[in-house]
Parts: sequence; C-alpha cells; structure tokens
Amino acid sequence: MNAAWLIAKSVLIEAMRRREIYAIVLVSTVIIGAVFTVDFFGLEGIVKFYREIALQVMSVATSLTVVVLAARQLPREFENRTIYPLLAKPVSRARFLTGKLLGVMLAAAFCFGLFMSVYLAGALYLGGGIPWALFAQYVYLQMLQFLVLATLAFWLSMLMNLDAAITLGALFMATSSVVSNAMVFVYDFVAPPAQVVLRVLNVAVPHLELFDLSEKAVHSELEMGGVRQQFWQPLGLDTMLSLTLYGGVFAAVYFGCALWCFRRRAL
Amino acid sequence: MAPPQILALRAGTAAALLSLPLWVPSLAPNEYDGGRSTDIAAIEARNTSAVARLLGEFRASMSDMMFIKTEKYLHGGISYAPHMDLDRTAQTGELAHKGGKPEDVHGPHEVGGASGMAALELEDEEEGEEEEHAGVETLIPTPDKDFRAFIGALHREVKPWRDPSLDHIHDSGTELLPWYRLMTLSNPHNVRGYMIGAWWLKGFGTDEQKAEAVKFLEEGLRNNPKAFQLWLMMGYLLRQDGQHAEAMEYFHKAAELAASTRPADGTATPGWTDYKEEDARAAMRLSVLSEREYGDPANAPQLAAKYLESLGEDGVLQRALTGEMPGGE
Amino acid sequence: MTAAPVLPPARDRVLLVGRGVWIEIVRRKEFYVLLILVALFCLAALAVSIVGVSNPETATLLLNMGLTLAAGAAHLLTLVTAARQIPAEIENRTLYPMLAKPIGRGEFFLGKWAAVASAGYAVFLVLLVLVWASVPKMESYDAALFVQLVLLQGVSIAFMAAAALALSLWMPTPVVLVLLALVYAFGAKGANLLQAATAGGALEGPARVLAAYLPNFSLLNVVTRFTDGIGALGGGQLLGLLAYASVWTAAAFFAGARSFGKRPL
Repeated sequence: MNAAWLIAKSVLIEAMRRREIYAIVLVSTVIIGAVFTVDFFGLEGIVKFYREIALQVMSVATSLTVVVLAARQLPREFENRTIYPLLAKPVSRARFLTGKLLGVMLAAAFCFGLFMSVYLAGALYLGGGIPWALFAQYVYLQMLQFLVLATLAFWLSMLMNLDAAITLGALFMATSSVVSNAMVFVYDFVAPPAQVVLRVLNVAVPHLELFDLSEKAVHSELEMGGVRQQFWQPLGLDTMLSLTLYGGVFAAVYFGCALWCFRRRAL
Repeated sequence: MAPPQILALRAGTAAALLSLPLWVPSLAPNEYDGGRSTDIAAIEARNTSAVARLLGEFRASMSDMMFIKTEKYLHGGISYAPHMDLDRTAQTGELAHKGGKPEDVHGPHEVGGASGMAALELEDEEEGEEEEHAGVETLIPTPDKDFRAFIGALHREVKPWRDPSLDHIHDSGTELLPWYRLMTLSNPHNVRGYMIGAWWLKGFGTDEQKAEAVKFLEEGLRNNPKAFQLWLMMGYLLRQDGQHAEAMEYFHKAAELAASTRPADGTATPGWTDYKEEDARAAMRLSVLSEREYGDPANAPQLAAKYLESLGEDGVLQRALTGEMPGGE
Repeated sequence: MTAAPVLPPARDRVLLVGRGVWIEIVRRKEFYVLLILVALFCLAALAVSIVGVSNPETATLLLNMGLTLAAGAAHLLTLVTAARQIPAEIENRTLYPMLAKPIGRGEFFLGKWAAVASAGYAVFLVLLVLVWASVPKMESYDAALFVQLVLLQGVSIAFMAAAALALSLWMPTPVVLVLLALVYAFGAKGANLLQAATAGGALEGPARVLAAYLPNFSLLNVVTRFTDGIGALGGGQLLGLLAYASVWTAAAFFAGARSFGKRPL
C-alpha cells in the first residue's frame, strides 16, 4: 500500500504545484463574490440565494476539476513515458491505479475543502444559521459523487482520447439528472419491451442527483408561525449507508473497467 | 520583426479594442419588445406541458427557469408540477394557485397574510374557481407510480419531497427577490420580474423597502417605458404612500398606454391575457377616479367617455360619466 | 555553393498544421464525442416523440433548448480541444519536431486555431441539422435571422478557440476550462451585474467602460431572438456583432501568437 500512497502523494503534490486548484477556487470565489456586489434591495437575512449559488458553483467547479485531473492521469503517463520506469518497479497496475485514484480524491478533497471554507465563512457572515448535520452529509455525498466521476474518467480516458474523455465526463455530469428525470417520465408512455430497457438503464447508469443534498441544505428552514425553523431533517443512517453502497458499487465497477483496459494496454 | 501587414493588423486590432466602450453598448441583438420568451401565457403553456416535465428543472431561458424556481421556493424546495398562478402574483402580489380557493391565496410574506391591492378593490365581480390544491403531483413520483424501486426511494429521501396528498407547505417569496433582481438584470425587459419583485418588496412594510420598490419600478419603467402595468403599479405604490397627485400622473400614463395596446374587443390572445385586460380596465378607472378626486373634476367625464369608447362597457366608468359615483377610494 | 531550401508558401504551411490537427482529431477518435452527442440528441428526440408535443409553445421551447444545447456543446468541445492543443504538444515533446520543420510559430498557432475552430463549427452544424430535423416547427421563425444565427455562432466558436489557445499559454488547462466555461455561461450577466452594482455611484462610468471589455458570448447568440419569432438583425447590428467577434478573436489570437513566439521551448 506504501507504493499506492506514494503515487497518491505525487498526484496531489503535482496538482498543488501546478496551482490549478487554487486558481479554480479563486476564480469561482471571485465570481460568487461578484454576484454579491449587487445591492439586493438592502435586504438582510436572505440566505437561500447565497446557499444555492455558492453550492452550485462550487460543486460544478470541483466536479469539473476532478474529471480533468482524473482523465489526464493515465494518458499523460503513457505520453510522457513516465509509466515505464514506474511499472518496472514492483508495483502492480492495480496498486498504481489505486494510488492515482487516491491522489485524485485527495486533490478533490483539498479543492472542495477550500470551497467549503469559503462557503462557511460567507454563510456565517450573512447569518441565517448553518444546518450542520445536513451540511456534513452534503459534503460527504459530494465526495462520493467525485469518486464516481473520477473512476468514470479513468475508464473513459482508457477508451478514448483525453479531450473526448473530458468532454464526455463533463457532459455526463451536466445531463445526468435530466436523463434520470426523462426516464421516469417517459416510462409510462412506452411499450413493455422499452420499459425493460428503461429498467436496465435505471440500474446501469449512475444517478448523480442522489449525491446532491444541496436542495435540502438550501431550503432547510421554513417560516412557520412567523418563526424560521428547520424543516428538512438530516438523512437517516440507513439512507446514508445505502447511498454509500450505491456510489461504492459504481466506483468499483468503473475502477474495474479502467483497470481491465489498463491491463490490456500494451506498454 | 513581423511583416508590415501583420504589424498593421495588430495595430488595427489594438485600436479597435480600445474603442470597444464607444460602440459595444449599442450592440443589442437581444433587446426587443415582446417575444414568446417573456409572454406570460406562452411561458405557462410551455412549462406546464408534458415535454417540459420531461426536462425536469432544466431550462435555457431565465424566464422559464424562474417560473420553475418560484414554484420550488414557495413550496420549501419541493418540486410540484407547476400550478402557481404567477400571472396573478405579478398583478396583485398574492401567492395563488391555479384555479385555487380564496383561502389558497396567500400574502407575499406569509401564509394568509395581507392581500393584494387596488385592482382587487375595484373588482366588481368574480372570485377564483374552487379546486383543492393538495394532490398536485410532485415531479419525483410517489412510490406506487415510480418504477425505480430503491433508487426512487433514495431520490425521495435526498431531495425535498412530500407526499402530494398532504397539504402543501408554503414559504415566503422574499428569498426569491435576489433571483428576480438577477432576472431583471439579465433581461431588463422582463416586466413580470419587476412587478413581482416590487410587490414582495412592498410587502415588507418598511419605509426602506417601499423606497426600494419604487426604485426598482423606476428602473423597470426606464427599461420598459411602454409597459402599462408598471406605470399602474407605480401609481398604486404612490397612492398607498399618500402621494395622490403623483400617483394620478402614473395612472394617466398607464391608461393611455393600455388603451393604445389593448386589442379592440379586449378578448384574451396569446399576448393579451385576462389579467392584462383586468389591469387595463383598472388603469382606466383609476385614471378617471383620481382625476376627479385630485385633478380637475371637470375633466373626469371626458376621460371616462374616452376610455368607455375603448372598453365598450364598464360600470365604474359609466357611473363616473354620469356623475353617480361617490369617491373613488 | 548549396541552394537555399525552397519553403512552401505560408498558406500551405498553415494548412499543413491545420490538416495535422484534423488528422489527430480523427485518429485520436475525438469524433466519438460527436457521435455520443448525436446519440444523446436522437434519444431526446425519441423521448419527445413518445410523449408528444402538445402545443406550439412547447415545440418552440424544444427548438430553443435544442439550439442552445447545440451551440453550448460545440463551444464546450472547441474549448476543451483548444485549451489542450499547445500544452499537450509541449508536454509530449511533439512540438519540437514540428517546429524543426520550416514552419514559423505564428503559422503553427494559426494552423491550430483554424483547425480547432473549423472542427468546432463542423460539430455545431451537425448538431444544428439534427435539432432542426427532430423538432417540430409549429410557430413562425425568421429565415434570414436563422442564417445570421448560424453565421454568428461561427464567429463565436472562432473567438472561443482563439481565447482558449491564448489562455492555455498563461494558465493551467483546468483553470482555462473553468474560466472560459463561466465566461461563456455568465459573461453577459457579469457585465450587467457590474453596471447594476455601480449604478448611480462614482464608479458608474468606469464600470460601463469595464463592462464593454468583458467578453460577451451572449451578444453573438441570437437563439432566443430567433425562437421568439423576432425579425432579422439590421445590417448595422450584424456588422457590429461580426466586428465585435473579430476584434476579440484577433486580440486573443495576436496575444497568444506573440506569447507563443516568445516562449522559450
């Protein structure tokens, strides 16, 4: 495992050395900050807008970063021929890929951690309270989403050119919830054989919207009897475990596919 | 050293770049009056269709996005099939459900709060059709209608969801104000954005927010000088603030514009909804009544006759014409 | 005495680089993305035909979303391809043998830009045909504006290609991707926000000037005007928009080419 850890560290160090993550966090934060330079009628205690804008921008920016970071790991090693001396050492390809994944996830955690620090600072400044348990669950589920996206990007980068892998990964991220929604709605309109196809797709395609708790975090409080109270409660342990299992299965499948392609690739 | 043609091209580009502030503001391919994207009836028709539900909350235009977002914010984040009457909200500031009961009409800040404004004061008939609004479908289906089994169950847990057979929960629309601000910034011709925003601002009841509402409407009028509903609404705000003479000017302008844009028979068309007709009528009535109360009483019958010519029939104007009507307030 | 080597004309050298990029695009299976995009559009069209279009407003909504997505996907693909062109050549050390040939750096840059922009535009045209063929047209639209829309998207994609190529020389690829994706999506709103934030204050004038310098892809996108049933743009407006895109494209191109020319390899 030591070798995997070393590879992971090198991925993280490279990501930080290139200053990409800092730049992405800075650019996104400046954009969010720019929105708030507008005077929204001098209103105080308006928090949902901030929560929604900030969480969406931060989630999209981190997801994109994860897709790009993960997709380029393997092609770059091949193109730069740096993979040959590495694999000449007693490091299995599985361990190598595990190290890469760990590194990408550490970089994702670092990037999202920076974002969340900025988010919390903004939320505390604006007031309105933070639903801590919901917020912690939101962060955890987002990390699960990044894991699925990273493993998917690994696999895509083994199947096709890097640009194509990044574009497809980003498109999948952007359209996932629309596709899921469309499947639900179309189901009643189609013939039984097509319903079977939809049932298969429903299980085979990951529903990224299941890892997005932001709507509950945004609308966590409601005004009831003139007092704002928390309405949406944190998810139960069984739901969190099910979601972990759900994300874990997809990540394992994609990781397995990436590894299979990686093993078949002639050096 | 680059060839002279390249140097000339570079210099030309630099000069053109420097001159951008002089001519870029005049480029406005997407600024025009009307259009299906901001037409209230068209927004409603396309966003409540089956295909629109297929798209979930995914929309390309800010007006369409706000249609969906407003419903969501008002219901604590729950996505129901669109059923709010945002046209009525724009007209009166009330949160109302399509064809809902009178008790389903809520004030802008809390359920059952203060109701709408002068257009309703002057109404001489009709209330909404009655229909229970619990039971409106949620976009995430109920377990018995969801083929996705455990994935559906997780979806209902992760997203704000409530059994549609239960009464809807309501939250204030004030959290939507920044979105409406953004909507009017991204499309300064979105008249409804200005109207709903101004109602909700006014609903705060503080002097500061009333002043913000007036400022917001002034901006709306600068960007949409032909939108008679904005003139009418500004008149309402000023009248409520006791500025009757100023309000009268706005009512006059609203009435003039309404008379010039109203279809001859006043029947609903894609560009002229029943609400617009109602507002046009209110503008003409208020123009006449305020003229009689705060302007030149001798002018009022003339104005009434002029607008009766446009409207055909109207009890309030008829009485103003014959001098039967008591005070306009 | 040896004869000086005969260089092919500059145009041919640029075409050589451009052709190389196109061959790479095909060889490296980048068109997979296009195929998948096409499949996605076909699936969407299938879903819509199953549910049925109930009214003209819905047909227009679909047309608007289809055209918006076609434009967005083409810009995204252009951005991703352009942002990685030169950094990938430098990292893989494939740039050196290329520049060892009798090709100037400016020509190399021009070839890259032309190839990426034309590939992006080709993607847009394919998606446009798909959208047009699959969405029912139940309301009236202006044919001349449609031609203008197609033209303006072309210059918009050319601008995106130049901007991504130039920025990729100064900042890491993911930053270029995020930055330009945000500018594409929110550039116009940014300009509006800036002006609204300073309205009535001492900074109103400077903000107006600054707003004119925020690249605004929305100006070049007349999809909503088209689906709104509005008429074609006047000659002055159209020329102004073409000039706007050309100025930005030329500025990005010259800045990028200059930086690339001075870069130690």
